[in-house]
Order: sequence, then C-alpha cells, then structure tokens
Amino acid sequence: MTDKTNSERAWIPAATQATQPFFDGAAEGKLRLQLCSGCNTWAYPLTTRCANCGSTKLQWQDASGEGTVYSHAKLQRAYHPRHKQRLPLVLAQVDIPEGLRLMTNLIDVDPAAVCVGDTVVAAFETFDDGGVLPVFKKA
Amino acid sequence: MAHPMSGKAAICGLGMTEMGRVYRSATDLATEAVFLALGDAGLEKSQLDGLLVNAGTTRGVNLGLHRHLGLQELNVLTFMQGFGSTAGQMIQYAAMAVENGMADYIACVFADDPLQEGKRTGDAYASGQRREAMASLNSIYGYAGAIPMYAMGAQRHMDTFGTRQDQLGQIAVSQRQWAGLNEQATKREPMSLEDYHNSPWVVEPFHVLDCCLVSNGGVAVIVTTAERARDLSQPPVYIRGFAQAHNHDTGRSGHDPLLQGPGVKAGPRALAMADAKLEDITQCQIYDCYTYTVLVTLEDYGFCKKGEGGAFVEDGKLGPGGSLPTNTGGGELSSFYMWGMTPVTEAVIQARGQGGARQMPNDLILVTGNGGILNYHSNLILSPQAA
Repeated sequence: MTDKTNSERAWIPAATQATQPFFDGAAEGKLRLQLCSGCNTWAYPLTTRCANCGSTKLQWQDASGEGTVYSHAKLQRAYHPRHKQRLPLVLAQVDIPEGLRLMTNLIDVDPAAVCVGDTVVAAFETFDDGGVLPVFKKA
Repeated sequence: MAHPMSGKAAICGLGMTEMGRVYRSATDLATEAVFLALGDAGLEKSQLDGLLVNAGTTRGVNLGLHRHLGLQELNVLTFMQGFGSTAGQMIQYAAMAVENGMADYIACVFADDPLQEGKRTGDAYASGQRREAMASLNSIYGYAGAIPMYAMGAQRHMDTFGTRQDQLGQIAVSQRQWAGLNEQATKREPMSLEDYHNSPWVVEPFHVLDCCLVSNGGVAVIVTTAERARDLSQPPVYIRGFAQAHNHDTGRSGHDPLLQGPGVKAGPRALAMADAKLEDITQCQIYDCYTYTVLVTLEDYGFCKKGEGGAFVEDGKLGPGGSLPTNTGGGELSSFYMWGMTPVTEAVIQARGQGGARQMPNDLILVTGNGGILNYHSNLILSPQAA
C-alpha cells in the first residue's frame, strides 16, 4: 500500500537541477561538494557565489571523504520518519580536510563510544526508494 | 576614564504583558507592552517619538506596529533582527539616538506568539514546510532548531574539559530557585538535581530542563536621555556600557565557535566603556536559551577560566545566597522566554530596586544577549547610578 503523505515525508524530496550533482555523487559513493575555481575554497551547502572571494566559478568536485568529529550529540526524539527505530541517532559535526564543518550523522556506531576527535570516513545510507544520504562512520 | 556616552542615556519605562499561554497575537501583545511602558514611565503617548521593533520566532509583529499604536509622527522608526542579541542592540541604538538628539523617547519592543491553543509546546516551532532536497538534509539528519547545535556545544565542553551533567543541571536548579522568588515566573515549583536527571532527553546531553521555555508575550522598554529620565515616574536605569560582537564560523573548520562565543570580545569593550572591571559586576542577567549558554558566556566574560565553567557553577553560586547572583528572575529556563528581553526586564527590575524577595546588590548589572548558535552577541551594563 502506498501512503503518499508518509512516503513523501520519509524520503529525500526532489533535488533541483542545481543540487542534483550532490545526490548523484552520493549515489556513486562520493561526497561531492562545490569547489571555487577562483580561490580553491570548498562550499557546503549549495551556493551560487563563493563566500570567500565572490567568484561564481563553482565546480562540483569529490571530497576526500575523510573527517574528524568536532562534536556530537544523541538525538532522542524522532523528528522525521528516518529517525524512528534508530534512536538515539548520533548527530555529529565533522571537520573535513577541505576546510568545512559538516552537520551530519555517524552510523554503525555505539552512541556511547563517540568522542570529540574521532577519525571518521564518509558512508552512504540507501533508503527503500533508492535515495542515498551521505553520512559518516568510524574509520 | 569612562566613555563620554557612559551613563548619558537611561531606561525610563518597562512594559511586560502576561507571559506564557496567553493566546493573543504578537502585534496585540506588542501594542499592550508599549502602552504599559508609557504608563510605567509616566509618559504621554504623544511624547513617544521613536520605535524599534523586533519580532520573535513567528515574525508576528513588524514595522506596522506604529499604526496599531496610533503613532502619527516619529523621528526614529525601524524593524531590527539580530535574534537573541536584538533586545540589547535596540537599547544600544536607542541610547545613541537620544544622546544625539534624533529622538526624545524611543520604545524598543519585542513580542512573540509561538504557542497556539490546543497544540503542545513541543509543536510551537514545528514547520510544515516541504523543502528541496539539499535544504531538507538538516531535518533528515535530525537537526531540528537550535537544540542539537547547543547540545553539541555542551558535549564538546564535556569531552574537552570533563564538564559533567550535574554541573549543567546545577545551572537549571539555581535558576529555578530564583523563579521560586518571582511571582511572575512560569515555572516556580521546586526542582532538584534528581528531577533534572529524570527529565526526558531531547538531544543528549540536553534534558528538557536544559532548554528554555516557550512563551507568548510582549515587552517594551523606553530609552531616553539621563536628564529626561530623572523627571519621570521610575528610578532611571542608566546605560553605562555596551558592545556587540558577532562571528559566523559555524560552517567552517579551524575555529571553535561552540567553546568560545563572541562575548569574549564584547565583554571587555563594554567594561571599558563603563570604566569598570569584571569584579565590579554585582549581578548577571545572562541569555540562557540553554544551560550551556550560561556556562560558556560566564567563561567568555572571564568570570572563570575557559574550561572551568562546570566547577564554577557547581556550588550554586549563581543561585540565591550565592556569590554571583545570575538570572535572578528565573531566566528563560524558568521564568519566560522573550529572547533578549528576558535578561533585560530582570535587569531593569533589579536596577530599580524592585526585585522584592529576590532583590540583589545592583551597582553594576551585566546583561547579555545571544543569537544564532553563539553567533550574535550584544551586552549592556546597567546601573542605578549614572557614574
């Protein structure tokens, strides 16, 4: 049975032409982000103009996929269908060598065993509808 | 030597509506607050020639407030938005404007109406908005509102410095003790550390009792010159010092914005303007959206060393009978949540000596406002004495 309302809430909404490369990258197992050709500064989330130098020459490029936990917390209440059955869900801000701090999740980890400074790598969570969400897991 | 502006402007009127589950529009609450402030100051509406407006989460009040107030001619009028730092900012800009003769009496107004009849408090900030894929990622990851980011601030402090849950809890307990002495506070029933630990998790390490209340209400304060304030109904509350500092490091690595907020820069600037030392501060009204915000702000201002905030608050020194009375009305955690107006209102009450059972030494009162994720910061140093 298809419950349209529920499935709409459960899955990632449609990307726009501008954000599609991020999700195409995820489907290929890559953390694909924008890189400014003018000054080599990475950007996330989507932008149309580099916040560092003002250039509009932003290109999609695959990041290293490496990261370090800046901080973390445990979500204890579900705000989205994805969160149900998996509380506590580990929220983490992950510093990547590209100079960004990503708001993401750590998966496949004991929530009590996460600590600031943990080394992590990009991982990809696939939903029933084929949507893919970039996350991180312990290295 | 104090800055030439120090003590030259004053808060002369305070208007506070009923707070909490009061189901009226933000515009109506704002309007009532201004009339209450005029009455409090002993001013006629026709004397009010400036209006600064700030809306809360619902964006329910705007520049059109002047029409609801029937204000025909104004010399200063604008809408401002710096989130939790706005209340302090409005008072700063009003002080500069009256001192420069742009206007005589400027009302600074905040109102919010997130609580709706028949809906739970937890639904107050929920958005039914459906977004594009990338814009929806944060909610899919579980970042709903500000709580997760502040919780991660607390967790980074815990992992880095060994700060304990008990120490965050003591901040909530101390403030609840103050609320017990404040008849206007929403949450007055006694709370123990055990109650704190038993309170449900929201985003661990935050329990429900680490988080501010959700309130409907409106607040207005009227700013004028020190000279004019002395001829009005209430004891003047002199504006001795103020500053702002803002940072936007949240999305980039290489900074540590969750362990150190912009208060570290705004504090010394305001103290210099007032020609005061930190030791001269006799009480604090600290923006307390979460327990951790109080801890990190006290550290940023230098009341203790960075990393030692947990041990600093642990003995209850922020509460009644403690050596650094802080958030003496119960704060946003236990009294009501009117963004930066919560600390401002209590500071005005204390500076006037109208705190009743909770009145504390008021020579120099530090007021802080914080918005974003420790991004936007303003402060005020208020006093019953002009110098």
